[in-house]
Amino acid sequence: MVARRRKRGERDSEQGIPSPPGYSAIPIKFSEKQQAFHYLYVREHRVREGTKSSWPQKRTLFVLNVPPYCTESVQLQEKPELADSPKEPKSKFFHPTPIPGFQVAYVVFQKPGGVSAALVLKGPLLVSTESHPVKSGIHKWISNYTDSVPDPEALRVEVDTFMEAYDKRVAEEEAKAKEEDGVPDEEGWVKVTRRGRRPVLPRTEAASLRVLERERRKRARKELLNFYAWQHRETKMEHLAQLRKKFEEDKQRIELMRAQRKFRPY
Amino acid sequence: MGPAPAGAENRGAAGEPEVMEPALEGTGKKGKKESSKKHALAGSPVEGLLQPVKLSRAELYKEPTNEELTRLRETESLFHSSLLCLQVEELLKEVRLPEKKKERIDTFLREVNHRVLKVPSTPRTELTDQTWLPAGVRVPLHQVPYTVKGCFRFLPPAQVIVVGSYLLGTCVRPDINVDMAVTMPREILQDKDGLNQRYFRKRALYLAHLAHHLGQDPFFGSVRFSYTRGCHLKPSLLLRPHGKDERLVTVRLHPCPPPDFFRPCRLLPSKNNVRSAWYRGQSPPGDGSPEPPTPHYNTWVLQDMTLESHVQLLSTVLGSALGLKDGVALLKVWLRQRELDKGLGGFSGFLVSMLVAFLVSTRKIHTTMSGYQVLRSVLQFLATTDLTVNGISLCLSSDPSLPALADFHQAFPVVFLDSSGYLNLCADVTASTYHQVQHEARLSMALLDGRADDGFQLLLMTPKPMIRAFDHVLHLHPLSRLQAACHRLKLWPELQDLGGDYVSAALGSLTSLLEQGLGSRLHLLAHSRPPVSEWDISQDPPKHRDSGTLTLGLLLRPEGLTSVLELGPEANQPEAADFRQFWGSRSELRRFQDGAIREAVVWEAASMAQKRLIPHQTSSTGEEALAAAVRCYDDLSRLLWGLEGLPLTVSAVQGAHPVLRYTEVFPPTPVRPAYSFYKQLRERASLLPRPDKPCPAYVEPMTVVCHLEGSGQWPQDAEAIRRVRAAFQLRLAELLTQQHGLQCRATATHTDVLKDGFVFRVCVACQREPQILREMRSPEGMISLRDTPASLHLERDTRHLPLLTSALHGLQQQHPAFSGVARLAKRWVRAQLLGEGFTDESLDLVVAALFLHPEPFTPPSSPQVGFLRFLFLVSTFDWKNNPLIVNLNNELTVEEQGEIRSGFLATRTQLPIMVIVTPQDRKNSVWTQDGPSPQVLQQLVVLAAEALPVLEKQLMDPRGPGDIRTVFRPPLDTYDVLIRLSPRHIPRHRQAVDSPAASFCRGLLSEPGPSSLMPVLGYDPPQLYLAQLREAFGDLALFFYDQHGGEVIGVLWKPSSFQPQPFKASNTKGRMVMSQGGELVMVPNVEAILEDLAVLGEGLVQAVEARSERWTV
Repeated sequence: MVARRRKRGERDSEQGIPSPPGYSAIPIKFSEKQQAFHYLYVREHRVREGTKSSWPQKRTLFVLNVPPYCTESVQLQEKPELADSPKEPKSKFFHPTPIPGFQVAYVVFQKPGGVSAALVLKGPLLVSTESHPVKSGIHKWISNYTDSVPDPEALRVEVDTFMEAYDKRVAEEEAKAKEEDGVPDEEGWVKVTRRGRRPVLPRTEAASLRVLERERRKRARKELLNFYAWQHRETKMEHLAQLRKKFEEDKQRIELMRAQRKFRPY
Repeated sequence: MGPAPAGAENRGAAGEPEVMEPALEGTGKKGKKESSKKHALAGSPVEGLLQPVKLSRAELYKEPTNEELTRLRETESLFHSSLLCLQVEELLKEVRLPEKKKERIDTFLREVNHRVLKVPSTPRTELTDQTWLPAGVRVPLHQVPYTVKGCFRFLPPAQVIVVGSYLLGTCVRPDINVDMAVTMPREILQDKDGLNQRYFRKRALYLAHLAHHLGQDPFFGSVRFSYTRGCHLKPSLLLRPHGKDERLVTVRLHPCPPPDFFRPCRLLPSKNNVRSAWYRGQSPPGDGSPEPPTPHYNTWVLQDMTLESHVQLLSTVLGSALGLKDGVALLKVWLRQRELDKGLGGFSGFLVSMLVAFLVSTRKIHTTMSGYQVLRSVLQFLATTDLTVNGISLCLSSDPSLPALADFHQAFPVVFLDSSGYLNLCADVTASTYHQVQHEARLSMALLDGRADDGFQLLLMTPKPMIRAFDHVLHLHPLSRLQAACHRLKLWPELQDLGGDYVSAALGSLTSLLEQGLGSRLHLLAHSRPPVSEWDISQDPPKHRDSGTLTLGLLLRPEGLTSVLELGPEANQPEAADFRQFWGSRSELRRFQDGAIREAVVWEAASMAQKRLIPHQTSSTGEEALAAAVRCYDDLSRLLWGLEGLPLTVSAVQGAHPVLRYTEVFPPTPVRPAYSFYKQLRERASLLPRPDKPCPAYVEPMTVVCHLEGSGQWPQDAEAIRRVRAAFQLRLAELLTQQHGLQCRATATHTDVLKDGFVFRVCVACQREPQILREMRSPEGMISLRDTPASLHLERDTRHLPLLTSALHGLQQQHPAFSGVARLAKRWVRAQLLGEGFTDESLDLVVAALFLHPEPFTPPSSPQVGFLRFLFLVSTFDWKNNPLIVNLNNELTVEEQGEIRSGFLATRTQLPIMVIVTPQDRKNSVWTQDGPSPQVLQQLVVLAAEALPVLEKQLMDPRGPGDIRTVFRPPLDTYDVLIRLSPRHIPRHRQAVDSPAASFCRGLLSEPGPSSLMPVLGYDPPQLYLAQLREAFGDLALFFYDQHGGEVIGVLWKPSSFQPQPFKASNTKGRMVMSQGGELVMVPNVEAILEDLAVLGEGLVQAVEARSERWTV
């Protein structure tokens, strides 16, 4: 765990580092060589009564502002978020690891005492030490590149497993749908599907728009244009309105061009 | 409407918070400074943006008044559109002389008249005795040969009258000139003064004396000499008012003979008035052959005689017809934008006025026409009438004693006779100039007929300097070489006629020689006209060789060029190679030309020097390599089509990489890795970089999209489709290895294929996938389609990108220069460290616009001119108010373009700052969605506006100081922090603008070796580093870098994020808590961040230079 390693950092106590209320600040730097510190802002992870949180109460330390070179082990995320549970690990083939920036950490200790011990840490912590170097820069990129060279066999296995599960699920759903086909529910409604005995139009927006459009065209074909006097008058008026609108637009353009001094030819 | 002043962008950017990112102070400030120099910022920010017009129903549908109806009808009949009408009005307002100034000028003119008449007389002396001239003034004429018979004395002029455009009310601002004819009294002149330049000598002495007296008068701000329309036998005296009015007006005094002093019949084009015996000091070959005619000499005398009658003619014709005057003013602007009106033989404003008079007399123009219609009619006439073949005449008399048009055609290239029937108004106009005028007129007519929305801008507001208009520009220097050429070509009679002007004498032969030599490859040949210079009255007049360089512009036909390509199989850049062959070695030259090799060789030095300089960076050898890569891709595509054993058949194979549309700046070369340089991962057949070696060569796989047929087999679920695609990628790799022995490496999204040293990245795509990603199910169970980021992204990569790539590939086949221009443009943008703000595709499209919408130019045929126009477009286009429409394959109609424009205005705030529309992408501007930000675009606009004049100046004067690469070197003083990188880990180090003398070995063999292992792909430490920086510090700073071998990363802090902020758990990135005035606030932890920069780039970063003077925390 990173946290444990940090504890090994020398305890050059620096009094009175300002920290936001409720948090304590722990200076941290990459290695001995650096002069300046970043500050971790830590507090015990607590949530209001009744809010569901997947992190165990009392045992979790909430850490803000974790520098980008701390990339190992603890669960890191971009934003503080309550409901995030440690999900099943995402496939590394389909969800490439994002590039780390400044992050937020939830450190879960085995005992509640760990949290309070961490809260009184004075630091400064070191990320990379001689006994436990952390890769950065060229070394890090080369190792990332090496990790990114894919293993086709593992990929194949993963795809096959997924597809098997998927096919199974689809088959189950279909079987269920088939079973329900034509069977009325409690209120007597029958669910009509595309697959049923009498397939219907799919219920999509595109399909309904198509129908509407066809209707509109049919109506337009029947209509007479410029037949009545009022129609004539309206067409003329419409034309005039168009011209007026165009004129207004043009005037606006000219105004803009004048402001931009676009009429000075050279 | 295209161009906007540089300032407009800036103004607009500030006024539109919707598309703004935190202000980029450093660049923003700079931009403001730059632009305010040129244009004062006018108007409030909101005014810089066009708003959709909102008119109430009542306003739109109210009953029209009679007045309104007439106005609408007139606009429709007299102009194309109301917009054009308004634009023309505005332009005329801008160029017309205001009444107030007129009054001041009139007062000045009266004074001039008064003072000129009061200049005292001098006693009579021999013409050769010029000792009476005071010391402070020199005769404004080269008196060669000096001896000439005759006497001279100064007498006050018989008459001083205003002639020319000022009187007619057709003069245009700026540079108001008033021409005054000063009639010399009859007593000064003698019989036979028309002979042997005697008249011109007297004219010059007359001016010298006038100059001396007026020069002592404190009333005048400056008194200087100049050549009248560049004719060096005819100086004129320039008078300017004193004090603050100095720039108001220039009065030009032209001495002229008394009316009827010379007999016109003595001045026919076939007559001789400069005797060989006098001029050459030897009699013509004794066999009694006739003296050579001196048509130009005669014309110059005639011009002085007709000043008054011409102005009378014009005032009767133009008289009260306002439309005609407007038309002449518009034509003058038109000519001036094309640089056609200046210098000896320029197509001057006077000529077009006479042309209008001619068209009125032939009833092609009516006095009630509007200015726009006059412009149109004149352009139409010019476009369709070749005055070099069929001359025209204003003379109505049918007197048999008058000379025939044919006589004039024999003596002059272009013929347009005045009302007397003796004077050819176009005597000095060369055939090349006239053809250039015709060419421009034709282009303009096409533009007007095309009914483009921004026709006015392109026609009258866009300057067309030679360097930007012509594909190749050759400079001839020094001009004195032409003197030798004249002797060699035995142009004695011409020299005699032109009074020793060897530049004009040689010009005709030169241009015809070139035209003959270039033949079908040449579309148009133009030459610069010697500029009209001014000089102080105490100085000798400038010599011919002082008029700078003679510049020749070549406009080439792309189709002709390709046919020449067969001559040189090694030709890389068609035209460059072609020219290198043509001019490079004399023997080649001899094949095309006869004896006159000298001139060509003179140009060669200058032109090649400049040609080699710019494209040096990129396009010297590029085309070949690109073609090889494309050939390899074609092979691969065939293999994919023919692959057996895929569960679904391949329905399309499309390239999606810049290489496959010929626009990759540095084309790929086949990779031959030296294995010892790498770590080998045998079980996955891959090479890996080694930490102890320099970074290996950068290999970018070329993306190819491989569509598989649609089928019911595809799952209906996005996640499942991704798995199926991954399975296809694996299968593809297997099959390609089995059936064709290619080295492949499959991942979930693509398969990398190594073929003949090129690496392709084949991405399998399913047509329905974007649609599935778009499907949303409403609570009622209705399935609707909504764009999501994932679907847009996928659609862009698998649909838009291949379409664009193939369209631009097609464009390259039509315009061979496209590749060069696109690559040069991209190289420049990236060299300015702005490359990452712009997608590759967006820049390619901007360049494509230069070829598809070249108006008012023709499509560029050389990278150089294309690049200049790129800079011009970028620096002047009003991105704020206009989408850049790139009408690929001409698919969009005029109406559709109008719709796009109005749609653009309506949705302006939701669109990115830079909007590029293509027929495939009419609304979203997919290639500029993620950038540039307004600030980055503004920075590019400013840089382009700065680079253009610098580059043009260097290209027009290749002997001048400086290096073409200057414009490729970015300014670094604007950045807050500079991160210097170690060249050891920059794989593309050798691509830098200033190519390093030495760089590191990148693990490549020069000979083909075994290539069974996949090379290191896409491994570029600076890019990886930048990605990390942007992720970690993106909120606090912007990072700028030249991906082509840049050694420095520029960092700009975002000022807004340096404002102290209250503590927020979600926003602590890289900040620290500080107590400020008793309150706890968060500020960026700059000290630590600066050290982070070095930590994150360990091994790559050499130094982090914080320029603390530019920012404080």
